[in-house]
Amino acid sequence: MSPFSEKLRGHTFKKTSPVLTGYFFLGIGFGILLKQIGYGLFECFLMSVLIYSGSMQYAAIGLLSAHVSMASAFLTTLMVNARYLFYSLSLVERYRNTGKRKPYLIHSIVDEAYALICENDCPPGVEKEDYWLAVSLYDHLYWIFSTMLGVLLGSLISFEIKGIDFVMTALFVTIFTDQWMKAEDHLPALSGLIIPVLFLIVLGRDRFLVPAMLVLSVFCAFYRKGDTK
Amino acid sequence: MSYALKIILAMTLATELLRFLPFLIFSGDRPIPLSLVRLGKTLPAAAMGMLVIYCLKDVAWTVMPFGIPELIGCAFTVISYRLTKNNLISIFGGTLLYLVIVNFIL
Repeated sequence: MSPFSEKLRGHTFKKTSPVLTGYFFLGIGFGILLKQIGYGLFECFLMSVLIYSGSMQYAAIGLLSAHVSMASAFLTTLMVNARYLFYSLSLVERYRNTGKRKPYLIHSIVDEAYALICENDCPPGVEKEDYWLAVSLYDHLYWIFSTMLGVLLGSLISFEIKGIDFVMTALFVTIFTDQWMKAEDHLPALSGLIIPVLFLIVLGRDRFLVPAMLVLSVFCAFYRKGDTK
Repeated sequence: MSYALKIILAMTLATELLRFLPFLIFSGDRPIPLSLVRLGKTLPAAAMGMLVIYCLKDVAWTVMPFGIPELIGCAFTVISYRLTKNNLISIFGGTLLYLVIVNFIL
């Protein structure tokens, strides 16, 4: 028995179908990469259920193959997913009276669900809390399904596809471009390119990441321009 | 615990910390520290820039093919996104172009 009415299910599916399209291809891409670095359905399931963050899971491919420490993985994740802090801050009020749904609603905060929940196009006669829950759950299930499908497709490919990990680069370049187009002030984005390049030149590719992250975080925490907004 | 599980655990903890912290701390009238607000605003763009550099860290810029396939792939991704605003076209178009260059042209 589904706790959601048929009307809610139909409406939610319609609203989330663009997310399904996006997650379908990105999820498959992630699954294939994960399989290519030697992991399978179990790791994929855990990552998609627990971490549930597309860009971080793509970054994890690089980190897992570079065999980084738990501490670097933790720090990198804090930085890459810093936007969730912003989403959460803005949802504190909205999610105040969501009762038992609250822990899951918070766990499933991601870019796509956040956008739909902010839009809040809840069908008449449906409780808002249930609509938020349905959107969050559908998006999460699309992601779990697509990534695991990717692992299965990846196991059909017995050879290594040279250069396939460029999909990671292309993903981050796309998000970077998107943020660039939306921002009025480009200095934070530029610092994200320049500071890591400087550390890369000075410290080399195996050691630059953590120091670069720390310096970038301090820079961003003290960056005053835009405070008034 | 296997290495992958440890890394998944660390990533889960960090992600959940970011998601849950505001709800645990700022559920009352307590004001949000300015530095956190700034981090939420500026760090996402900086972090994406850093990930782009991280992805390109192993490119050998001084020997053939001088990172040209990567530059072409990135340029296609940026330009196509600016023109179409369709992330799938940019991501998979850029990747396909890169794959063709490194597998069939070079």
